[in-house]
Amino acid sequence: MRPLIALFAVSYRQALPLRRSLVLALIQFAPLVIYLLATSSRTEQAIFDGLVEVGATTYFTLVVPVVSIVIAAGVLGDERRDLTLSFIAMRPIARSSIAVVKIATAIAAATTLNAVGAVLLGVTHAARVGGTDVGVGLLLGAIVATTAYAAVYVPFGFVTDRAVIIGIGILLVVENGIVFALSGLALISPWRLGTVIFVDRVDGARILLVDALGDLSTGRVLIAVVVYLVAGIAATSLLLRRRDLA
Amino acid sequence: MTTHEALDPAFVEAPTIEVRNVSKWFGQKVAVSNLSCSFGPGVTGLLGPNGAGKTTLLRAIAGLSDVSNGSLSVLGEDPRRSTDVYRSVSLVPDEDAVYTDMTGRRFVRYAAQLAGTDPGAERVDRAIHTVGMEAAADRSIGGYSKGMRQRIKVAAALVTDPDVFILDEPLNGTDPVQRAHLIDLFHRLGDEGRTVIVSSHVLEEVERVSTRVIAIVDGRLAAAGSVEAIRAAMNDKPYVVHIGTDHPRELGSSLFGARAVFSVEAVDGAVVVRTSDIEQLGREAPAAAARIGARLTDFIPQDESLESVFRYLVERR
Repeated sequence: MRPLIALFAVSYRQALPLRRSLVLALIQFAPLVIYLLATSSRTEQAIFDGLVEVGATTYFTLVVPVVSIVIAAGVLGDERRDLTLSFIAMRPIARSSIAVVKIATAIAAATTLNAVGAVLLGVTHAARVGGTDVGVGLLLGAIVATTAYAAVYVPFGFVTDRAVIIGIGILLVVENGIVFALSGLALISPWRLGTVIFVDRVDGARILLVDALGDLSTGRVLIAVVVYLVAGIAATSLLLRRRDLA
Repeated sequence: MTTHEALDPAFVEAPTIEVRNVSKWFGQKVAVSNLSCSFGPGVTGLLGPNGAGKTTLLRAIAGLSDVSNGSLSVLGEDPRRSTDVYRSVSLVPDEDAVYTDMTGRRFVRYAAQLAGTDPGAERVDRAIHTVGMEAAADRSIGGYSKGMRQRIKVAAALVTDPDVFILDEPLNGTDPVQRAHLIDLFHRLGDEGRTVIVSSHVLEEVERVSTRVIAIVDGRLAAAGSVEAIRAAMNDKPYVVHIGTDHPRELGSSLFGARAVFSVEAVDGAVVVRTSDIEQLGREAPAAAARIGARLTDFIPQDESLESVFRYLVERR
């Protein structure tokens, strides 16, 4: 277990270098600023609607995906580029264990940053209208979405240097475009999985986002996240076993 | 071990690493071609010019890349299938495979932690002391020179106390003192019965490090055996020497039939001589010139690179 803990600790630190962390932490202020601008001097219901339709939507459709993709793509991708992957691979650690630790690292590091946005939005909203369910819902939703993104982009970042660009392209074109038109594809959109968790924890939120989420339930979302995770670990293990390592 | 292998200096009696008919290609490029050899306890030099396939072979032995054909075993196991073998194997790669934001001490400790060995301060300190890096151990690796990075990588390999050391150009970037220190260390490790493979493109370097050499070029085995045997084989290679003179025809005639001279050709203002012994020709040419009253202006061996010598050895095998 000790080798895996050491691998996690170092990988976590590597995933959050100062400059990257500062930029990604700054992005976390965007939902708060947009929410405050959209809900100034309104009724309590209007503030709530603004939180869900503007604040949480910005958080889930842009902030969580971008942060998760950037962090996840770098967890193995940076090691490959820095030529340190061989340093890890030449240890008596099963490749599948390395895959699990790397995906766990991506989830933990991205969640650390996404928690900033969840706390900012949750605490601000609580201060204005009361209640803690918004902050908790945002955080749990972010963890679920981040888990799915990590399962996809940790192996993808290992395969290509352009994982972040491609990932953001997929986010804008597929998740935030095509899937809106074809709601049956909602399960392939990680941010929708997270948003379902959020709206199911916050009374009155689902009705405001029903167009984006369709009839996805928390149960189906959790099953989908487990499938993402298993597939991501399997793909990463296979890549670590089969590909030549730098 | 087959009878043929017993007689072939590319193989050792009690191998810890066996390479059998290994080929590795990247698209159209063949990096290693049908190579067979073995390594055992003691220090073996892996010699070859840049691009010869040394790194590809070492990475395959280390299990970091698959072979396209053939098979490999390290301590009886396939390094691509068993990660357990890494309890006993360490690689020091040529490139800077280091975490530049870590201190040297943290890097060595991390290597021990990942290997599941006790990362206690004493063990880490001992590895750092062995490569003479105590003074810089608490500085960030990002500020290290190439030679210091090489040494901290060696310390990270040492800290797990492996039976097999694979070192890819470990002397690159080291100064003469560090070099002597590392060479001593490699000898000590070999004397302790560990299998140590040290790659280099410099014959003199390999000569100082090891007594047994595997030489490869263009991914093929060029020569194997003792350094002396390889040097002798290399001396058989015909060299082409360009000798500038004001009397090319007369000097050519005079050198024709001299010892170790295969052919002579008079060209404009020079004689082109093919010889197996440059030193001998270096003595013969001035004497011949003196006899006929000719003046020598140049004595330039052509195509004397290690690569060309190795190519010759490959063709001879």
